[in-house]
Amino acid sequence: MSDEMTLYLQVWRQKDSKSKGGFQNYKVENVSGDMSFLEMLDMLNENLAREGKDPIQYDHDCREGICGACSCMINGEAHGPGKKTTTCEMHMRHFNDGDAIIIEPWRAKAFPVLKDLAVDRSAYDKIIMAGGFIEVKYGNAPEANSMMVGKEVADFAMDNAACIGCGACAAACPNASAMLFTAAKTTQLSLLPQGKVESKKRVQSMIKKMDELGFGNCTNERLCEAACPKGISIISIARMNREYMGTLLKSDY
Amino acid sequence: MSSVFKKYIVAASGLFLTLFVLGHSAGNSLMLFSSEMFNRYGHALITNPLIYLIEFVVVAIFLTHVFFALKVTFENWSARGDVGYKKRVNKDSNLISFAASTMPYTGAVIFIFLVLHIVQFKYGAYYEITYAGTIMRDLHRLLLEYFPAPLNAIGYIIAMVVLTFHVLHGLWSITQTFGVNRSMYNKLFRNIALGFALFVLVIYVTFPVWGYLQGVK
Amino acid sequence: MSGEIKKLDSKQPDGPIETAWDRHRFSLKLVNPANRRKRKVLVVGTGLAGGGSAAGLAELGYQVEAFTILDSPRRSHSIAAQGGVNAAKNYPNDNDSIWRLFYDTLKGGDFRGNEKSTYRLAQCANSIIDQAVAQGVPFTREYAGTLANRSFGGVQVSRTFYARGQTGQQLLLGVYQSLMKEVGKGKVKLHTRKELLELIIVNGRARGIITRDLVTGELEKHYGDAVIIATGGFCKTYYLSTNAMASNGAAQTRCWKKGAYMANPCMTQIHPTSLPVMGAYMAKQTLMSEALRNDGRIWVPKKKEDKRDPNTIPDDERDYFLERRYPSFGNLAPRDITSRAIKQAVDGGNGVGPTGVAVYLDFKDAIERDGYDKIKDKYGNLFDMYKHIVNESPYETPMRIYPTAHFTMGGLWVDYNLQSNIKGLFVGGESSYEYHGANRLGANSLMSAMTDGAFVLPVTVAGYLGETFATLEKVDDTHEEFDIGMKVVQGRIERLMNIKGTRTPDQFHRALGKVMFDNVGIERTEKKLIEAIESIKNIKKEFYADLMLAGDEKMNNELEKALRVEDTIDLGLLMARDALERRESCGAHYRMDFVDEDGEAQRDDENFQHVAAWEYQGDDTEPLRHIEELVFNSIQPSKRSYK
Repeated sequence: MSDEMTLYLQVWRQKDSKSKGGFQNYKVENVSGDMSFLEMLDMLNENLAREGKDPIQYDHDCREGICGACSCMINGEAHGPGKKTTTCEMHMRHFNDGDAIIIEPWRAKAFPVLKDLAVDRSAYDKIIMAGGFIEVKYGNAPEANSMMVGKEVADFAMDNAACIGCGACAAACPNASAMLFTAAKTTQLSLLPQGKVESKKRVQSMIKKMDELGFGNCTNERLCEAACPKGISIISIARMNREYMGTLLKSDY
Repeated sequence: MSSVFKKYIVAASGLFLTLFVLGHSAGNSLMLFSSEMFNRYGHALITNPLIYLIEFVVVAIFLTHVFFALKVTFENWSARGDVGYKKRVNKDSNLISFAASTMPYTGAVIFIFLVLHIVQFKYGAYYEITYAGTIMRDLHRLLLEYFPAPLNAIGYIIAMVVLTFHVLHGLWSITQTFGVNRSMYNKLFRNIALGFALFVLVIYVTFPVWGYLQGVK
Repeated sequence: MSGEIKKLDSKQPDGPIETAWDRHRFSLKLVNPANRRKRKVLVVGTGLAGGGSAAGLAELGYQVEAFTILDSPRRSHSIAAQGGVNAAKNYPNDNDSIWRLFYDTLKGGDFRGNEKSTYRLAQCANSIIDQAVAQGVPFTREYAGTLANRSFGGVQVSRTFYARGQTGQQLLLGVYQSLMKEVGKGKVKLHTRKELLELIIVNGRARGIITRDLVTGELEKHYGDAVIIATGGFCKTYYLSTNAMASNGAAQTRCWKKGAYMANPCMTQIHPTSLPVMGAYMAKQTLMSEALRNDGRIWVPKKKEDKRDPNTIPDDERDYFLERRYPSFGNLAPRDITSRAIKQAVDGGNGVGPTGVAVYLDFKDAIERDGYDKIKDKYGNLFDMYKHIVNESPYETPMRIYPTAHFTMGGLWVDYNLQSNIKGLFVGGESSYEYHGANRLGANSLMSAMTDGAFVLPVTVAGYLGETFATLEKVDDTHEEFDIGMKVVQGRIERLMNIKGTRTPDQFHRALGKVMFDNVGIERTEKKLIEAIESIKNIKKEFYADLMLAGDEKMNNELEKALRVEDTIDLGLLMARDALERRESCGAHYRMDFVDEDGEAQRDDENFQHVAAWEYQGDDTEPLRHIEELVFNSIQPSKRSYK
């Protein structure tokens, strides 16, 4: 096993959404560089539980960077210092012995803290609910190959579809804006021929919903792109802006 | 009004103001060639009956820009929620991201500068000069009184550096907001914004430097 | 409950297999569209099977309530499937057909799956692709714009559709979006962060559930006219697995304890190429795609406990054991066979790495043959992922891999309608045992979950509602069964909170996982299984004596874990029992005491060509083992050989 580290954590603790929270200090010993960040928190939690103290609440599930459940602002960076990684995929070898680590929940009016590091991200579900779908019913869909989609278009749609809905974009954005999340979905769906039909309604209602939920305005600061664990580009935001303008200027018929 | 629409307004008014900055610099550069050219240009501007309409439009667009920028900024501040981050860093920080994160502040500095600028020049000391029988305002003289004072020159230069940052992000930002940005042009647009901002900086810094040197002579 | 062993009838339709599903569908009753809103279905789990059936039923006009223990349906574990989804579209014209897909699935499962259900699965697979494309799933495409296919998991035809390495994610997001569309219309009521803790049965029919709100800790009653369980697999019985933390099997165990039969729980797929265990703190193992075996060569040093740098070990001191033992399939041998061979190499003392529990997966020869660029192009993202986790570059040093639990073929017993022995209780996806028999083929899991959710459950559940429309008694949450259920759950929570012992739920879970992996894992023997049953019983005893629970009854991860581990222990015990009673080797269930002269699995069709369906008899009584005979009319079971 590699060198073991001692780390000094400052973790945001908050009993529930109504309580006022604060930072608490914890010392974690025997941290191996091969551990993932969440495994380090697991270890701390197990120690806390053994002492009869309330363990730190945080969201996690797949632990391989695809479900989007994990979050956390780690030393001021969404999902920690690694690029294109989620917190669960980030290993402790990014840190050094004796490091101080500040761990905070996502901060956005639209993402209220539930407890400690766990936040309510249902606002993202609501944006999808407003139009992030293709209105097709289960049943006999048209033959898959009856519709050709160019490889480049399919690939760019896939780049955007890779979004895991973790919330890092809004969390890292200085304005807590959900533009990258919303743009990734509108871009994926309106690029594909099967989603083009509804694109006007989709882009308008998703943007409207995003605003209603209390996310900020995009000021093109690009922090979302830098924080996105899936590397989704702000080019998609430009694309959504263009598409939205088109819906205001152009008639469908 | 949707967040994106508000951004269209900020971007469109910003684009207009950027063009104004460019036009203004062209007019100003006449001062480098001759005092008569410069004064005649000023005279032609203020005697044109359309000037009131133009002034009104410029001021209206400027105020629209300020109003919506403020609105967006306040909304953005409140979108973070009651508790902010103890620590937040930009994973990908560079010159443009610095410009981006300081937009409200550079905007405020420019606003203050503009008020002073108008007070000091438009409503500043009124000298007269006659060219070929026409009496007109001698703004050139005012310049030569203003810039040789080191504080004035330095203040002007600082304001122009601030303006450069504002324009740098603003111009690139327009390509995003209007959706003209594409992956293949992304770098190009950034370089255009950078080039334009530097161009503005060089031109506008020339004026106080030139004015100061005139005074020293 | 009767103590008699029953022969179960899974209601497979008679007659020709090709038209079985059509004829069966025609026999199901319909509900008048205007009456549909009078019927409510509770769907537990929002992955491909749960989310799909919830959206599908809502589209038909039924009231639906959907439940997930996660914070959003989009996190459901269907999302983690990488490789792809199979369908017999035969786009590449390589002689694929529905029949071939059906046969491969059945043979891959070592003839322990249901013939007609499996045929239906192969039939529906084509519609999955159509449906997913219509939903906007960006499958990988050819330059001409048509869908791309690849060959996957040792199959000889290219029938796997994929969206880069994120096929599960894309299919799930398609389903999630359909679900959210219905939620937005008010047709589906979505409950997130709510965990099923009890199934409510009224007069023999499933009529509701008790859930715990994971944020407030409140217990809630939910009633409906049918309940769908689609909560996924239960590999967390092994503690370490490639599955998400929520894949715990607690919901199935709850249903089992209320009388639903559990079928073939011992059938667990151990995936050969996962990253090895790196330390005791490890909470989960990461899968390295099976595709790597197309070019990588698996080996161990011939010398025991050889600690040399692998690159300095000459070729003649390496044992490429898969190529040696299975010359025709070599490194592409099926998952169960490969896992076994790796374990045998490690058990023989030839394991590598710091812990000695791993083998090498080497790309040196592939890089020499095809060049660095080509290998990077094919596997670059996987190599990056490996480097990320292990901090070694597979371009320079061979990967270290070891098998780990990956998929549970077993699950709640269902009939052809996906209905459990409890009327009104339906089960879909990995939670049921239905299709994969004793072993699942690569890219077949998405296919089965999607088929259940999109094409089977909306039809059969509606059929049940139609059949019972006139006769189903009116039940709401004021029924006394709900109060009894609430008391039971409350009692469970209080009991666990009041043990006040010294060990955390994770400690018990790890202890269980170790017993399960060592004794009920890749290789099983009578002795090891009897040992396992004893050890798990001990763990259970200690759990109730020495559990310590920090935190309160509100949002509390420890309490959630304790409630799940309690069920997981019982499920583990049942898995061990089932493995003990199945005295044959088939698919992933490999009994070292039932092998042929070459040491290969020896199936016993005479005595075990059946599904074992276990009935709960109370905590201290042995469960009953019922039997569903498997009848094969369309094909002849053959021996799986990959020599």
